[in-house]
Amino acid sequence: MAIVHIENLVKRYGDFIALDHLNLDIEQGEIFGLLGPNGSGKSTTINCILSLLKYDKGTITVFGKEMKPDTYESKKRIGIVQQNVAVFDQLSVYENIDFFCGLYVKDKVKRKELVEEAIQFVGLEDFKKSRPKKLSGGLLRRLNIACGIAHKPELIILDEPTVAVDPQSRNKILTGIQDLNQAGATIIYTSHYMEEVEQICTRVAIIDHGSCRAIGTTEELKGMIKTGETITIEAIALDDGQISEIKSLTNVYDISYEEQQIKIKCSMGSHNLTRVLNYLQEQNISFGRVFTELPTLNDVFLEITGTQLRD
Amino acid sequence: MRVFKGYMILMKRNLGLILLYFGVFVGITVLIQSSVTKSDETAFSLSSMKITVIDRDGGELAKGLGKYLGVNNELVEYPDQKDTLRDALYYRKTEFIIYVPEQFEKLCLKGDEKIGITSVPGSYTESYVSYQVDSYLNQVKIYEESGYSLADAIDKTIELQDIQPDVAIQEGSNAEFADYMYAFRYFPYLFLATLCCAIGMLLVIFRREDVKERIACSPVSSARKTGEMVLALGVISVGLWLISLLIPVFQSGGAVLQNTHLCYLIANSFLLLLSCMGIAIITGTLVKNAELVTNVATTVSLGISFLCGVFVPLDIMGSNVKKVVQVLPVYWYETVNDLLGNYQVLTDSVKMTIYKGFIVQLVFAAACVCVAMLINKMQEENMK
Repeated sequence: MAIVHIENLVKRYGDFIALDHLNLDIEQGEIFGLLGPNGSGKSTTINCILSLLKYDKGTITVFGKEMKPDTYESKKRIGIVQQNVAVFDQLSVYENIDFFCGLYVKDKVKRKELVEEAIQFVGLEDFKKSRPKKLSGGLLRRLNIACGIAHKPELIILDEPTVAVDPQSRNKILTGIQDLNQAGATIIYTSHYMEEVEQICTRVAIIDHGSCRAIGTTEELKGMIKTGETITIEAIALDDGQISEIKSLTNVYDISYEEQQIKIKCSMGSHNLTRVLNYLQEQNISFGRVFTELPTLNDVFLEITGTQLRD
Repeated sequence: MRVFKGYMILMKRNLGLILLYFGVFVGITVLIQSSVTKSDETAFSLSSMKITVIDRDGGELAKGLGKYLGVNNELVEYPDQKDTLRDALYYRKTEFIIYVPEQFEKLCLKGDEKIGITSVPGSYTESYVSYQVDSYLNQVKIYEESGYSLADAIDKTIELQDIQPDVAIQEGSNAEFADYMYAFRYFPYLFLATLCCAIGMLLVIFRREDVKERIACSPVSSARKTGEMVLALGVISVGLWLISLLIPVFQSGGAVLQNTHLCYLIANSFLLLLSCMGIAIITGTLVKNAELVTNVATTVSLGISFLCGVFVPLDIMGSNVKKVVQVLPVYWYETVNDLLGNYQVLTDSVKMTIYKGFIVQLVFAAACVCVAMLINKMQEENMK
């Protein structure tokens, strides 16, 4: 059974349609990625799930119950990590986590344990008494996560938690999210960083202009597109005739030659690289470094939406 | 009670600023109190004068006059010798010499005999002595014409002089403005500055969009959140009010507790507190930046305090200004406070003004809360 079920969700801001009949099902135990460029409707979707926004049409059920502002039983089981760091500057790290955890857990002893665990989980043991202003960007993000997950929710919604975070902290956050998932939490993860989504998400929905353009595992998504392999070769002085001949090779469907670098896009199939290299050898064309890449989510996004993921 | 506790912890964090305002308030109060000079001109008291009665008649009426004057004055006896009496006047051993002429009783009762009064040069109280003598003679005549014997008429007149009436001036000042009343006078500045700062700051912190959203995602109901917020703001405000009330108590060494209008003073200050809470809530609802709160608090508290007669008397304000500031609760607080400070006895008309002041303050507080709720609702609708 889906933990989150979204059906025909429509949200308008005046004439602008932010969500256009969006349909999604998020299953228990998965890390579900919402991938899309800025302004595609990811955060609006999240805010609708959390009942922070009124929507114009459609239904949202969470844990089998329709989500409304007063669905407190469901809210108890949800943790939210927002895009912006939502903590009190006047409180210490410990006090912040304790305050937000206290909104869910009344028992003082239990709460103390949970707060300590959350601090340990995000690695802020040395900063318990520090005020947020004294923390670096990465540590602040970790505090933001701790405030959202301290009460051990079953469903954790992370809305671009790694924006403006250094690579080291980003890796720590991503590992932490996987740990939370392994501990039993279902995770909804929004991002416009494809590598992150590819790294941690078990299923991904590509959102663009407020609607879901594709959904599946990363492999399934890659299987949906034409590109199977991209071969890049450093080669000197290729003429138009040679380029046309390469394009006519089996499985090759697109080719470009810029700055002495030939980029060949092939559909799925075997021996694509061998065929290209054989041709170059036959034509006595000198070549340098050779790269071959499997398709990325960026290729998927590019092919499905016709645009690059804007950063 | 997590939301309540959150407010209280954050309040604790901002305590330094609150104490600063409190210190400024106490400083201003003490400074102004010490600079105010007391004046007796507003009060009246019975004056006693040194009077010598030279009785050349020796009759009952003349002896009665001596007794009559002796009730409220000091009678100084001297022999009927011109030099002795002149010396006594010169050395101010007596201030007035009243000569009762021979056959005074007989001639006086017919109505055409005058009594001679000699006083020290430049005396401005001679008319007061003449008035007392005339009163005595008129009163005796009235009693006698009413059928009393001369002896009884004299006794009755002297008895009348002994009666001390309680006088209450209905329309005017009849009490001294006590020192501790100055502390009450400056309460509006203290309440406005402190509450705008404290409540404004707390509301700005809690209304930060991302924090608000995170709290909104929690299972705490909106009613509970609002209830706990109101409770926290109430506790903070009432705490401030109670501490503030201690200032006049300590300043007066407890004398304020004997004030006959203590209940009115407490009620007036409590209603002012509610109005100031209302203004502070609006401030916190409109201001979005925590750094701006102190500037706004200072501007609001000083502006309203000056306009409504906290620092300068309302009398020097133009009539148009007075008309405008009548919509503000501080104007009514000060009006009520002045009435309570100046009137020993509260007549019905004074009480009416006091109740009117109370109602205006209460309505203003309620209106502020409604406006704040409306603004909040509009802001939330805009967000959605």
